[in-house]
Amino acid sequence: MGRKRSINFYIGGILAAFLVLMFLISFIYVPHEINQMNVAKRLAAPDSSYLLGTDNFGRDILSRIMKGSQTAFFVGASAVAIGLAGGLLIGTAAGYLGYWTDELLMRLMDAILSFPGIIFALILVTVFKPGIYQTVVAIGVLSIPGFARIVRASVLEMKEAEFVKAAKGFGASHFRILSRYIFPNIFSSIIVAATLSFSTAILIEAALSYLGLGVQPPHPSWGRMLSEAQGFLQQAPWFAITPGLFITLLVLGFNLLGDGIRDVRDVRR
Amino acid sequence: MLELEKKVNPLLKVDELQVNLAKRFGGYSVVSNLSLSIEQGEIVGIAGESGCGKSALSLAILQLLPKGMERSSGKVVFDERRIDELSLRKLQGIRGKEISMIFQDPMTALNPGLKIGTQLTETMSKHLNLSRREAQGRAAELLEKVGLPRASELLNQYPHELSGGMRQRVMIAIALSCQPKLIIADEPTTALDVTVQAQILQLLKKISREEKLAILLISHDLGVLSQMCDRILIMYAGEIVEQGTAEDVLHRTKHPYTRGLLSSMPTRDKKGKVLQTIEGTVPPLSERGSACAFYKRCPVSRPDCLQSKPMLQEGQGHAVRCFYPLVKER
Amino acid sequence: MENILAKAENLTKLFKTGRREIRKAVDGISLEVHEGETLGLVGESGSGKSTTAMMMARLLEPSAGRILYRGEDVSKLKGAQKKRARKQIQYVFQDPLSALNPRHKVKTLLEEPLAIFKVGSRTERMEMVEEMLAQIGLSSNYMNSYVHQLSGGQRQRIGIARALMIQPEFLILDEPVSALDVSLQAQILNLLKRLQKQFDLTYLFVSHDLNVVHYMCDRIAVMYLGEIVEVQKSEDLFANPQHPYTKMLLGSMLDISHDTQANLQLAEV
Repeated sequence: MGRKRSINFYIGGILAAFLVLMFLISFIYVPHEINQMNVAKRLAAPDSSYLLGTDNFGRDILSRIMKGSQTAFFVGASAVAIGLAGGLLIGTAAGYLGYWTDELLMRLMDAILSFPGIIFALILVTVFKPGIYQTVVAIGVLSIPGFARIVRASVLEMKEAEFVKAAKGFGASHFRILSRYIFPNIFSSIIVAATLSFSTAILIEAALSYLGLGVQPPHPSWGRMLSEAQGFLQQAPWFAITPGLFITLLVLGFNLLGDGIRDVRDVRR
Repeated sequence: MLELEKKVNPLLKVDELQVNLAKRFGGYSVVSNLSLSIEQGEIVGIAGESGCGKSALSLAILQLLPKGMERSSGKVVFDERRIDELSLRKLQGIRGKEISMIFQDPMTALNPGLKIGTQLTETMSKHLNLSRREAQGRAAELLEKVGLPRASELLNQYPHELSGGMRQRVMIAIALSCQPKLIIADEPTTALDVTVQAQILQLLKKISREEKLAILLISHDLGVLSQMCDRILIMYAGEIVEQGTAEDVLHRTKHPYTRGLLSSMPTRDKKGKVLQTIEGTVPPLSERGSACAFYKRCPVSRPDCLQSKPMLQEGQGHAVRCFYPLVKER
Repeated sequence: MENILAKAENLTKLFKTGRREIRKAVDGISLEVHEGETLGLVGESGSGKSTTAMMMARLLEPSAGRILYRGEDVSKLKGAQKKRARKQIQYVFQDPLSALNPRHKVKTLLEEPLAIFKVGSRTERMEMVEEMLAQIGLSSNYMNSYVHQLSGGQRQRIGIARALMIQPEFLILDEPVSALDVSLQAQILNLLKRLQKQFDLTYLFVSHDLNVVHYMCDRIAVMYLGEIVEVQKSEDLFANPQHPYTKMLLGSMLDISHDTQANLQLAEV
């Protein structure tokens, strides 16, 4: 039942697949060397050689976009990994153990949440110089509370489920309960949270890079490209539109995919 | 017992109603060419187990079918007007006013965010054009009528502050507020405690008799139906397989399925004995074909039952859909 | 003289509802279950019957009072003794859909109790699972099915089977047939009776349906607002109810009698 199997899943899937494809290809081939300047062809409109045009240094935008996807994916994935790991640990401990552990950990999460993300990033950047790893850590840590909340809520819900009580009734160990009863059943919520977090991470990275505080040259970043393009909006609109478009596509794609995955898993059950 | 005046047309007449699943779900038949009629003031029961289509039938009457189902053919005539083809606006004039519905779970049927008083007066203001004060006065009267004292307090409370039985009484009050001619009650007491159930049913019966209010009562509980209904219709796989007075259907049973249902009930005389069950399970929607739907599970079936579909055979008000109806008395 | 298998002495359970309020779900009840019998526990919502059943099954800690099993106090056991008690007393939940892990296949669901109790090798356990499926009348084709793929009746059979896997002596069933259609209900009741003879079981049968309880039970205990108001043999209870609440309960029964329409007049409030 349900061929309404989610437009989200298909559109999101296609977008995500397209971007992942570009990401993978970028490792083996880009049309031009990304930092190669061609002063003669600064701010050139898209043509046969430079498919998406050139920037203010004459560098090929398409190539920079492609390499930029590596940054986006790397930052996104790593930040999510950190957030997920931290969130799982903290969320499970809080949800399963409850009482003081729960209170303590959740207050800690609230503390992190109440911190404006940019400020946190700024602080990190002031203490350690801006760079890709600092960005990853900043975003990763910032996403821990989000994950922790979801994991905690799911664990709490599952703890009360009858089949978990039944397992306890048989004398199942805590480990068994967590691994065979609770985690398998909260998997889909976590996946959805992960894809959403991925897109948020990308957005934050773009924002930070736009401010110059994120990924630094020579690593290309869509966010930084956006800021570089600002001064040339009239002369070379494609310079600004392209990174903006790709950021949008990536965020949209993964968000829809996340929704879609949730839809698909729900219907089945 | 009720006197049926043959001259008066039935209050509700359903003619060859066909409800199917939407095409994207397979288009299977949920209710097959079903016909029934209800007289003024009559209490008619529909019995059946899960999957028989009784709920779909009740929803189809007021065009309340969910998105996955549709009425594909058949007529519904209420008070000599066709209501199956009415526009939504005209239909809304009937819903809650001439035909009311009561559902199984009062918690989800009542709006948890509105006070009881508001929900009561809402319907009345819409249909009866009463002033706020008039509506509130009537609301208090209604609450008393359904056995809820301290109406003034109650009007200001929210559904979650009431017990299940009280909520159901409120639902009944809302259903009665505009003096409908017919109430469709789908498992109105299934979710309630046994003692509360008895009270609610008694209330419904009293109101029906006093105000000549017809009730279409849907339930899986034959005990409930035997006590409430003038006539009973037994549904199986989307069709009526037996219908007649309560006495006829329950004590002069003709259809093997009805007999099977009655035999599987753990009544007091069966203690110590194995309960006679109906073998097998209800056929899924996709497997309902052109022969007798009950064939596979029927203890008295014969090979030629598979040849064609049995029709509803009538005899003195007691109809059965079977090639070889039972003749012994229960 | 009947052999007393399980006994509840002054069992009490308090629940915190809100800041200062405490609800007495079960108020100092005492109950005896005789070996080999089926004891019915009837009551309406708020009677405390489910809470009592869960305490007897050790799924809920009593606030006060104790539970004796074969003369031994099982309310405060720990460790190996607790595990042994679990083996002897099992519980069947009301709603199999929520009481069975949605992510486990039928074979896993039935294997779990054995695995937790470390009974036999994997192969031996699987054999026992197959045997049990045969006992409850389910074809072994269902081994790889998930709970949501089964019908209501089949699910409940699995729920019962799971409780019987480790061969308990005492089975506590909470409304095992309430969610089922009449014909399925009859099948399950027949099954329960057969299994009782076959495995020499003692049942505590919780229900609100008096007809079912009369059919299944030798003795019936009636609960109202946390207390046991009457305990009698089934026939005696129906023929000669003593307590006004019992009378009211019996008066609310809607039977299919020849004198249709007679009962409703009786239910006066």
